[in-house]
This record gives sequence, C-alpha cells and structure tokens, in this order.
Amino acid sequence: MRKYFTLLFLIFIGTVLYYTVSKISEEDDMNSSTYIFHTSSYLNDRVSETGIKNLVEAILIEYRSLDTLVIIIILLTSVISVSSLLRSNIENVVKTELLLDNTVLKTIALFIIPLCFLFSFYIFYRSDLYPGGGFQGGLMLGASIITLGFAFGGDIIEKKLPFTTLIYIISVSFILITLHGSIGFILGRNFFSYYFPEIFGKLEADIIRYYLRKLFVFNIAVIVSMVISSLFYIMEGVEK
Amino acid sequence: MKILTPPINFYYIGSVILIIIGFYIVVERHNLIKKIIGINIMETGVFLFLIAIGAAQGNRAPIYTSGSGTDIFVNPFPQFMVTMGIMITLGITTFGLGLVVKIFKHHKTIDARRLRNMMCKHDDDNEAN
Repeated sequence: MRKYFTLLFLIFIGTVLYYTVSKISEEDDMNSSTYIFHTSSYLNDRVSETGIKNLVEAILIEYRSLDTLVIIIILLTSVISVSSLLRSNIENVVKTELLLDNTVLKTIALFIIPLCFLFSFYIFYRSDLYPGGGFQGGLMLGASIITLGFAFGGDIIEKKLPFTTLIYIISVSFILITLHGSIGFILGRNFFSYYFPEIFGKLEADIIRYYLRKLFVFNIAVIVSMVISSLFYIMEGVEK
Repeated sequence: MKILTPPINFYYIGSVILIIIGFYIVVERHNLIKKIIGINIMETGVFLFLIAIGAAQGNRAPIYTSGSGTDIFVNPFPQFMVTMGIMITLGITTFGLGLVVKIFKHHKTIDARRLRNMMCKHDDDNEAN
C-alpha cells in the first residue's frame, strides 16, 4: 500500500515538474530569452584580445573566474573535512588485498592508462581552441589514477601518493592560483586579470600572460584529479 | 479561453524522469550509499535540464572556428553552470562518502532504519538515566 502511495506521489511530482518546466521555453522558439545569447562587450573584448576561441573556457577563466575560485574552495573544503573525519584510518596504512587479481585487467590497464594521462593533458592544455578545460582534464586524470588503483592494488597509490602528499599538492595548487590571480591586483588591475607589465617587451609580456592562464587551468586540473583520488582513499578506509 | 498545451520536449521529459528516479531512490532505499547515488542521479537530471534550456536545434557549439562568424551558438552560460555543478556534486559525494565510512566505523551498519532505531534506543536510555 505504501509503495502505491509513493508511486502516485512521484507521478504527481513528475507531472507538476514537467508542466512547470515546459512553460520556461518552448522548443525551437528562437525568440525565447534562453536561446538568444548576448555576449557582453567584456567577453567579446577578451575573446578578441586573448585569442581564446572556446567561449565556455573564456567564461571560466576570464569572465567568471571568481566563481571558479569559489568552486575550488568548495573542493578544498570537502577534502579537508574528509581528512579530518577519517584521519585515524587513513594514516594507519594496512596492506589490502587486490579487489580483482585479473591478468586481463592489468594488461588492458597498462595500455589504457598512459593514453588517458596523455589525453587528459591534451584536454586541459588545448582547451582555449578545442572543447575541454581544466575541470574535464582533471576528471579524466583522476579517473585514470583510480583505474591504476583498482588494477594493481591500493598499495601502489599509497606508496607513490600518500594522503598527506595529496593534501599538500592541493594546498600548493590553491596558493599558486590565489598568488598568480593577485599579481594583477598588486599591480593596480583587477583580481584575475592575468596582467603582467611590459618589462622585457610586448611579445614577452604576452607570452607570460598566456602561460599565466595555462597555469590557472593546470592548477584546476591538478586539484580536481586529487579530489577524485581522495575518493579512492575514502573507500579504501572501509577495508581497514 | 485559450487551452494551454505544452509542447513535447524529450529533453525535459528525460530530465524529469531522471529527477523522479533519483528522488525515489533517496526516499525508498535505506542503504546510505544508495541514497548518495540517488542524489547523483537527481543532479544529472538537473544538468540535462540546464543544457536543454540553452540549446536549440541547428545551433553550433560555442567555439569560434575559421568562417563561423555569423553562425548562432548555443548559450554557453548554462554549460559553464553545469561544469560548476559537476564539481559541486563531486565535493558533496566526497564528503557524503566520508561521512558514510565514519558512520560504518562507529555503528557497523549503513542501514538508515537500523541507525534510526539505534538513535531512538539511545535517547530512551538517556531519558531513563
């Protein structure tokens, strides 16, 4: 009886949700406000000035870079809270047995993981011209690290990347992001304006600004991959 | 009086179905890890909806290529918001799983009903004392 009531309630919620949602914008109605994309003049200037062709990436690192910083703070907070919750069983490293001791899995992992690393690097390095970005590349990097852990056992990851090192890497990346965001702030521009003065010349300053942006995306990718690797440690904690 | 007839948009239907499935899992399942999976499925539905309201048929991905000056792009802002949302989901999942592991270490169960009974018993004992 209870199940029927639950189902009826869910169907009611679903109908109400769909009715509300379908009011927002109708399909293929080009005059609807959600389809018309008004780029702000700031974004247009930035796209023509910096040469970033990918608009989502341009929003992420130029137009809404402070939002990106807040998201990184959320990720940092989650990892710090997890480390404080599970401090005792993460620090006592106990040898765990392999979940699946499978030769086929190991051989395939040996072929796939280097390709995954390479492709994730490509995704976040060329994100200004092609689809991708720091978050996507970081997700892929973290997934390949977890695959490594499942194929060859958690001991490899615990030896090469202990949990304390993981926390250090995340903290250093976060400090780097805030530091190089505040370079422009110190020199009289906006926060995250990636400004660098033309001390050595115009071309050199442009190159340094380009690599400041790349550093930002790289640090995002590192933080995201480390957060996903921390998931592996959390689930390992069940065994101990 | 004009009768309102909402058009059929399959992306919206899909997102509503995903949200309902996630809600059902959160309400009906008692395993805490399954509840976290349900929250993730609900968020997937929300992401699909956000992407769907920014997209229209025939519009291109928001990347400038040579000779694409006059084309219409899909709205890149919902895509940006979904990227942010996925990261928030990741943070919530990490924290939630950490809490579940901690609960398992203390109470040796992750069944929500048993945990509730344990807490009720604990309160009764406290009142008796």
